[in-house]
Amino acid sequence: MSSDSFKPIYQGIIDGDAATVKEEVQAAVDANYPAEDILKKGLVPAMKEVGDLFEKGEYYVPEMLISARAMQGGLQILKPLLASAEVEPAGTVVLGTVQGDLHDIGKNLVGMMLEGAGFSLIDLGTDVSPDKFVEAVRDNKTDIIAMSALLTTTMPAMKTTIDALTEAGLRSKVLVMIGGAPVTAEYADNIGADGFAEDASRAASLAQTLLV
Amino acid sequence: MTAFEMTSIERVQAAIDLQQPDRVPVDLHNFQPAAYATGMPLSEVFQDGELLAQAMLDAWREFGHDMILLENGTACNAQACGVEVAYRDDAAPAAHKPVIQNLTDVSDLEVPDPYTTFPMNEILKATKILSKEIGDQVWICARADQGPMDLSAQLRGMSELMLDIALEEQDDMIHALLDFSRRVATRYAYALIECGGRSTSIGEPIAGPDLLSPKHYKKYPWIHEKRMVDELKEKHIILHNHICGNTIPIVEEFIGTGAQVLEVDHKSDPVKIKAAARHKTCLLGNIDTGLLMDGKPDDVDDACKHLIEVWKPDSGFILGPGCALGTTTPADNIHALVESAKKYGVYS
Repeated sequence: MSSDSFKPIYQGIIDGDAATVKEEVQAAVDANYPAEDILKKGLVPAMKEVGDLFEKGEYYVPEMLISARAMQGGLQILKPLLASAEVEPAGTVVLGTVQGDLHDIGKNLVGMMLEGAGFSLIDLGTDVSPDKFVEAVRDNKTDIIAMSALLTTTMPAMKTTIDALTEAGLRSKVLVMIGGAPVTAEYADNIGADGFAEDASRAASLAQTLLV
Repeated sequence: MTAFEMTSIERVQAAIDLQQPDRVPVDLHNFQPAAYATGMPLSEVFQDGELLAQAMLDAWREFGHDMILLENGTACNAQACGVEVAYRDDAAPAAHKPVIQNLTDVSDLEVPDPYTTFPMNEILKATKILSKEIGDQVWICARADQGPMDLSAQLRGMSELMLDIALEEQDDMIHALLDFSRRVATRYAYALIECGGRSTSIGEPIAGPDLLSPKHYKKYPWIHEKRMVDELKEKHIILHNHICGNTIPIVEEFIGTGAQVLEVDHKSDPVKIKAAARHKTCLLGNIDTGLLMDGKPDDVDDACKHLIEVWKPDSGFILGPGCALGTTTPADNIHALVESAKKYGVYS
């Protein structure tokens, strides 16, 4: 089954055409294409291309948002089918903006890119305390924690969260990746995070790399 | 004229007029560390004009900079328009609940009266106090934050506004929202100048190429920023325009807004932006706030020396941080920045 079969889905996501993506995903399902194939040969490569276009400076936040919206429209159709076929996600990510920080656009974009890369997401929202991150890891089979901070004043909560995971005996059970405007690779090293992503597109690639 | 014979006000005016001052003037974007130094919760300082004025006054007495950037954060205009804002004890206030669910709701919004609407009225109070105390000794830029795009994002929700822009289905309504936000900032700007500000500023962090394409910047916020500049210019009011991130992709348009001062973030290549701005507008910035927070004084001195080499020629330069200083920025680093202008920034 060739990827060309899913070209209208792929192009629809690149173009941010949610109506076409939903229509084409439904058509593919109705034509008995496996949901996993539609996801991995249609949606995932399209979102990878969206990420590449963002990194090249051809797509910006608005363009990413409509592409992600189109992808999510298709994914909503596939989710129950993927669940009933017991298709494993690429991994499970607990995502949140750290305590004291109310900014969500970066986190939301990361979430969309992670979903587009086939990850299952637990989005804790903004202003997430270390305890809440710990609780999410304890209550769910979690592969990665992804933390976002937009302010230099809220960045320290990333270290506090990592310390809380250590104290709870959970640090070795999850990988931690961080990002946000003031965050740097050096800071990630200093606080013992496993990875740093410069932007939403690189966050998805990083998550894939961390789980290899 | 020997060095430092000019007052701070003369020095800043010369820089803005693209004339040669005695030395490079210095601004501090320091509302956060100034509030932190009071020892009081930031939430208290940022809601009280008297406390804010005292914090900025104490900071000026310590550092002796030429220009004060006065504000309480990037949610003032939003709160005045009814957006829910969270005040925290250790950070600037943050807007977190948009007030319009649909673009058509813009017609229900009213431009707030800054003299009677919190927290604008507290910032006006702070402006009056500072103007009375030291207005003849230091240039007060009383900021009319937020600019058209930034306020629009807080009223509508950032993701929602970005989606509206991407869909390009309701251009008139997007412009109506931007126009409303411009009118809020403009009315506030007039009041800030009436209360003693010598210039004012708009913050447009959402408008830059870190988030928005140059195509969309030109199509949407640029028109409204330029309109605000033009309107204030008719009343001889100086407006700074602050766009975060790397503004090189939109440098011609950024300059083209006509703002007399461009507040430039550290991500913008200083050589390229100086080449574009020379003889056209005054650049303010652009020392990395991360360096100011985590570096040593020698590192700050070195960075300032290099920037002064590039931006000092032909004037049109106010040295300062590229954005708001972090709350716990070490005082030694701030001193290093201020002193560097005296060491390396003298015009012969």
